[in-house]
Amino acid sequence: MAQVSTSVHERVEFLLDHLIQEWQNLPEIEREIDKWDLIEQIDYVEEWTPTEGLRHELEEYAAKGLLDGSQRERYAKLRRLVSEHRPILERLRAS
Amino acid sequence: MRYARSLRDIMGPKEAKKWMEKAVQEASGGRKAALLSPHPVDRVIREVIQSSGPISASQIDQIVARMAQVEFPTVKQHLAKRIRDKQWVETTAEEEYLRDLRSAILNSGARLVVYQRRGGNMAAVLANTQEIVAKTRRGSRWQPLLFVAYSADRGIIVSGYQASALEEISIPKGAQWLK
Repeated sequence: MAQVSTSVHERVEFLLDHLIQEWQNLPEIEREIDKWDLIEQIDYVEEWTPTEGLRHELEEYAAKGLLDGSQRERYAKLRRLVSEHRPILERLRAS
Repeated sequence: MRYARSLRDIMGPKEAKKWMEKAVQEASGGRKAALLSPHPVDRVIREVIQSSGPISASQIDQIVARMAQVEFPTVKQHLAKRIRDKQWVETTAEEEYLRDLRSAILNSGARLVVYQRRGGNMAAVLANTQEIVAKTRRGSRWQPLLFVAYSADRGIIVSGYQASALEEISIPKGAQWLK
């Protein structure tokens, strides 16, 4: 692994925690979103664009070999979640 | 929404819902959040979306003027997210962020689109970030497009962020580009 600065390590930690939570929440949100206020629903869907931007940022760190062992494991978990829950996100974003 | 979801986590669902309704009501002059905005320009937007009918240049100007004047009830929370995303620098003030979004709306080269999202009637603007956001306010991961989403049902800005490409924004099928 490349020598990683504290700031990059912390940023990767944040990205992993945040993105895993967002992708894990998708099935529950798809079940509940119709009960939310309209503006909450719209904002939730619109905000996935910057959320995907964060995932691209994480991909760049991973491609540069800046993730440690534990982070690589969580990154693999995130990739599985993305693959599994992608259809849910596509349905929400098309709605 | 993700912000409300965070609030839900912190405050619990009932408190978060109450907070969001209060913010929206305050921005819409105390009207009940569930009511459709009676503003004539918002009605025009809804009619265009629902009928796919023609729209005049003057009506487009009115939509742009309306969007540039309305409130953004959750501006503080959205700015915090945009700083987190490194789209705007950490020192950006709420007024500067809001001014950037309003400049995008008024930008002569900006595109204007109307569409339905989750059954709600929306208008949105897409502008060139470099033309709008001063270099000193662009974050380390700023993106080339600046997107501002407006609810023609509530008469408020819903979101404002930067995006790498139009495809990343996922504007729903059936959207109408007005300019």
